[in-house]
Amino acid sequence: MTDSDALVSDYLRRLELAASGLPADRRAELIEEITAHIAEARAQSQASIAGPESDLLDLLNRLGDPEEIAVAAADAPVLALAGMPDQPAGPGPFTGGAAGQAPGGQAGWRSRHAYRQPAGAPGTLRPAGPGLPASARADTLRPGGLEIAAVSLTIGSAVLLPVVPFAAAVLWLAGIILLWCSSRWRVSDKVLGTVVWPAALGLVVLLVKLSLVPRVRIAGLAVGLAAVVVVAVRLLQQAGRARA
Amino acid sequence: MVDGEAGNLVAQMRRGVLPYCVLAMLGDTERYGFELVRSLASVDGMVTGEGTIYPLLARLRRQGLVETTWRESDSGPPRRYYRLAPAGRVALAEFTGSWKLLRDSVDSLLDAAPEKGRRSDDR
Repeated sequence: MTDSDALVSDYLRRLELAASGLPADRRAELIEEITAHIAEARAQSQASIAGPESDLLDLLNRLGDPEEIAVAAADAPVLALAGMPDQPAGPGPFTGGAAGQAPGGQAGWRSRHAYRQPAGAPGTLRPAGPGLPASARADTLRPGGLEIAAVSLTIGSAVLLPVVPFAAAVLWLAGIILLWCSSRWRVSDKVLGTVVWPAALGLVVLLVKLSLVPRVRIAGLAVGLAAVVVVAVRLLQQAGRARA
Repeated sequence: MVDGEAGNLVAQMRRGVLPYCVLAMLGDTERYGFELVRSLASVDGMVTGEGTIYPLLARLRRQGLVETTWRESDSGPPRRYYRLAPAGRVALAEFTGSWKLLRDSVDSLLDAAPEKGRRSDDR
């Protein structure tokens, strides 16, 4: 099974590389869908007569080149009525002629050398592709340092709160700014990251004010902390999934 | 290069109608990604790589033409189910009407074409 797993992770890595020009949320979603497709197909072929290995080759063949998928994601066919400006004018790579493409796709991912293709390979997104202004997407290519800093500051700064409240507040604010600067998160995630500490602290203050039974207070505190941890993990996951 | 041009044209047409074919496949039922992709790919000549359908599905969702929900499955990983949104239903109905009209018109012209249609385009 390890060989199969290596094939799959190789394939997904190539997809991630080829899709690195996409906005983070769209790239994460694409990889999620393709991963789910592979998992589904493997689950369904568990009982098949052919070996899992040959099934997998067939499966990846049918999926097509990761580069081809990434290009389709950059300019997937749209309904004209929606008035979106990213309808490509030329004959796209999406349908380059059924007969011509299948063998190319096979050779593309079967050959061991193809695995090593760098980001500049022919299949990579065209920089000036329709609907994908290169300048606007440049930030998605950066490594995840910004995201890690954002999460550490936003979530971690509270450690300093009892000692040096002012510094904690400044660091937290810096974290929030970084959080909103990154393109790796959806707005909903950013809002979550922003409100989680104020909400948790608000809860603590409320519990103290109400002077409830200690047990209830501790439970409330635990809920608040759990929420903070969950949000931190979620943010890191989202950023990590989008990272090349 | 007459052959190439015709091929490109067909490729573009296929590309243009594919979103509506996806909407049509959903119809009144709800299908999960894998199932939808497999049945679409099983129609001859519609798709070259199954993987390229997912970006299309994502776009249809962003356009509000399909809606999705994640659901657990008994046999494997959780599945994202797609169903037609009201806007998708409208788009599909409009397209179906225009398509049938166009198809009939083109068919009638092609069928009525005299023999000289095949002048010298065999290489």
